[in-house]
Amino acid sequence: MDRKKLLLSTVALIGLGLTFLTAVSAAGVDAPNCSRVEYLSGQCPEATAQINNGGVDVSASKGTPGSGNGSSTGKGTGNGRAADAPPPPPPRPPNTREPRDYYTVTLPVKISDLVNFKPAPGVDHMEPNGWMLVGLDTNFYATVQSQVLTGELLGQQASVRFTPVGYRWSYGDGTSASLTTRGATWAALGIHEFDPTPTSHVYTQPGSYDIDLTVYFAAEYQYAGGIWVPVIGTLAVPANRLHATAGDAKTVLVERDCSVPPRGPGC
Amino acid sequence: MLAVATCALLLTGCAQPDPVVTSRATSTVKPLFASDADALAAATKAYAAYLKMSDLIAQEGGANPERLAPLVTPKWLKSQTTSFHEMAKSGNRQMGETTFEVDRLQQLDDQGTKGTQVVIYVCADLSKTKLLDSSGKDVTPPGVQTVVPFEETLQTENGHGAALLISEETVWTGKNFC
Repeated sequence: MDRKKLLLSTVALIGLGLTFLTAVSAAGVDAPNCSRVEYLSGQCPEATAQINNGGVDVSASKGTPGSGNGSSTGKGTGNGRAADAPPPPPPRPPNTREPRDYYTVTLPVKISDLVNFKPAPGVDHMEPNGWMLVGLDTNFYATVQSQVLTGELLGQQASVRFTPVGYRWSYGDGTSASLTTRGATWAALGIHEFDPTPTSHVYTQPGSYDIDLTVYFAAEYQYAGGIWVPVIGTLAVPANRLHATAGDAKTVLVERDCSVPPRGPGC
Repeated sequence: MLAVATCALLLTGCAQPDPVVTSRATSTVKPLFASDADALAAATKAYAAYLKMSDLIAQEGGANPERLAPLVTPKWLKSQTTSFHEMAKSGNRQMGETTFEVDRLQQLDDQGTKGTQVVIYVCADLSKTKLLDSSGKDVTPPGVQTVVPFEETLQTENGHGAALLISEETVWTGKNFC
């Protein structure tokens, strides 16, 4: 393998800020390991992946062609869970004798396996925590990370890398927002409390609200040391539900600036 | 300035093949090979021996794959043993011999007595090989190419002196260099 070569390229290119070139170089270079014997005998593993059942199904298969033994058992050999077999012979006409050697099977045997990978869901947060002021911005944000999950398929390592790419907040007041940023705390953004943020929301009516977040993950899979292959579509994973109460707040004039310590009475 | 450098790199990358990555031993360790050419010659010789034995085992239906042991690393022996056992279970065998041409040296990591790894590109010619089942029927998988690009990794191993052993072999699925 030329991982060392790629690594060297990466180091050199990062220095120039040209990491995209490395990605181009890596494309198509690596593949599931497949030796000459495996290639000739149809044993090279093949893998596919799709979004299914709340996660990503990675399935792999490899075949061994023509396993017939010359006997007349009428059955194929193989112990796989799935088999790609040619169609059965046509039914015999009625009232004919059972032929002793009706056909000799040389079935291609294909074994396959499947693993479902599910990412850890994100966590929904809000500021202030558990309450909001009508007419002012409530800051919502999510904590969620890219994740690489690994399992084994047909004796080879299979991995799926989940990357959060979208966030849909349902604010419980009949409105929702689909965003590409997970948001951050007011402090992390370096702004004052109740300032608007890319992920904040303003409630217009007092009451109790349930806030739901769904995180959308892009996924890529890797099998047997091959390249990372994108999975078509995105995976929607619900996060926790927040329950919060919106109330009114009265504005009063106070003697000092409430945002500058020392704060005065009434802040 | 950066843009100029970028273009230069891109153009260079498009116009020329990847350079051989050579990592030499430090002055305190004597390199195993005096030159890239020496490394390529040694790797070619080791691969030829490996291919000959691999062919023979496959022609005998995957029997006694441990015959590869003097030519490969223990890890690769284990991998190939599994593949040959699969072949033996299927009752299939190879007919004909594989020939090859070494395309070029891809990488030389020569640390002398600390170990050496050589990676080469090989074009294996399978045009004279077939896969037969136990009845002699041709069951060569559809889509098998006649000349297949492979990446062969060879390395020295403790207890084997300076001999290069096959440590990995895989079909190259990038741009076909054969």
